[in-house]
Amino acid sequence: MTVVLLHDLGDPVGGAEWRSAAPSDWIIPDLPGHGGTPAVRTGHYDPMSVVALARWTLARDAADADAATTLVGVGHNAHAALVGAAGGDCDRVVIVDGLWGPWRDPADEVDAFYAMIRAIAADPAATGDPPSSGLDPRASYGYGVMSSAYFARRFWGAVDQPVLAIETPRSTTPADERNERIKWFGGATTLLELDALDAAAVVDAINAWRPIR
Amino acid sequence: MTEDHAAPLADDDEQAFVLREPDRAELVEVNRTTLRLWGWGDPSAAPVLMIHGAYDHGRMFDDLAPRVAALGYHAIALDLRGHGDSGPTDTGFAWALLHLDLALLVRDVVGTAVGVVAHSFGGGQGIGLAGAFPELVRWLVVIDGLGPPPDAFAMPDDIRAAIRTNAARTDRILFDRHRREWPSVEDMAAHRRAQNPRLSPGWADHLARHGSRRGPDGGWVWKADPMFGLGVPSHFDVELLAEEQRRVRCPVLVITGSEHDTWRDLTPEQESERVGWLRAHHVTVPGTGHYVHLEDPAATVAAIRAFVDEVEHDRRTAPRPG
Repeated sequence: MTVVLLHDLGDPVGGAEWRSAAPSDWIIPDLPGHGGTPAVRTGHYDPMSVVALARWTLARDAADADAATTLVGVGHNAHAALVGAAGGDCDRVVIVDGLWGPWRDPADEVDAFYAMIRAIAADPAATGDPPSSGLDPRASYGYGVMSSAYFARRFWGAVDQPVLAIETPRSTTPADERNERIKWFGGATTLLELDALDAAAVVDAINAWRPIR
Repeated sequence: MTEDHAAPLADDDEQAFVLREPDRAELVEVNRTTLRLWGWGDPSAAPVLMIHGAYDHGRMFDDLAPRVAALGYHAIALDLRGHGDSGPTDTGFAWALLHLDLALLVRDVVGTAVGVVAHSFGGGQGIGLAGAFPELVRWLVVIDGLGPPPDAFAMPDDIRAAIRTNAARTDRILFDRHRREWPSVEDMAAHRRAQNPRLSPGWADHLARHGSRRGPDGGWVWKADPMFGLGVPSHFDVELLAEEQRRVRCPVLVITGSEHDTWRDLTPEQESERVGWLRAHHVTVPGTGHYVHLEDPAATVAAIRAFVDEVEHDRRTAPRPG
């Protein structure tokens, strides 16, 4: 089995914590602007670059063409993992705290979007030259991807691979909506709620998962 | 400079096509990229920022900008990131990124609030700039840039196919160095005219000449970064568009044409509704399409002049940095 794990955008240690917890054959890069990987050339972060990286990695490193490929996306990068899955890049997908937060009305959505842009503009470290290594402060502001219940239903419906949705106390998804939301995926879905965001526990859960297509 | 000096002659009737070169050209470092700026008029006058549309560039204002400068302003046209001589973009998921470029350009380089004249996609950027950073925009002129029609926001029927197509395009752009090269700038101009039949030959040539550069194999490629056409699935709809437009608090003038044209897709009712969201003045320039300011620059600048006369009585002493 080939596993590629995309750590959260803004993770202070990049993929280090996940690498320490996961089997050595999992592929867990430091994404651009994190850990040992320099910032992207434009200094701005978007999920498309991460999707492309995951796709190329899976295509290159799938050890056995017959083995299942699993794409894991954490936090903001759950969306990237699901984009990859919808594009057919993997056989199954795991999202950690990736069911989106409370749905906002348009006014709140635009408020949040503009607040994000203003916060970046007000942070000299986020708009000045990025560091050559370690966390780029710009990566702490999220991608600015807008979502909605309608969007999630349509988009997740295009993901027909098995999905394991792991929720931790860091999740912003309302607890009473999680069971409903996982029904929106196009294939078999498993919801697992953990008591803590503990990398080892997440890795154990993924290893124990036996999806049924 | 007077308007007469800047006035081009329409070339539909084979007359000469005369545009005024920018008075200044510079490259500035903003928001981790390089932006190309073109300037006309007195640099100490109140600034007006001119924002082009998708796949265009700042030199599309070579006619309108000197006319705006002649009103007593410092006209500054930029090449947006991913366009013209400005820095590249990694993706087309760049809406917020371009807002930031503009905000930091105004705040850190221009140094004072600007009037904005923006066309098409640039109109959306101007609206976002004015909504998110109201302290940076004195007034806004949107030239046929009220956003796409509602059905353009619909998600594709086959999302998986759309994502695979996007991925294939990404790989082609990044790994296949053989971008389409055109044998000549004239061929590129002809392509522009085929896309936009209302463009005059002179304008098509001008846009192609300043929007192209030599390719690695000796031909010509568009300067616009092909990555700009890519993106990831995300939510956007007319309700969000309306909310963005309602956030604009500065005076707004909307200028549209009267003729059917490429990228001029709104019904009159949709146009009126969006003008209402912006609480804007609205001027229709008869006999023009999407490129109102190229087809009738005199009428365009007359509308701008009437608007700024109303909202900014003394342009030369418009607020400077405090």
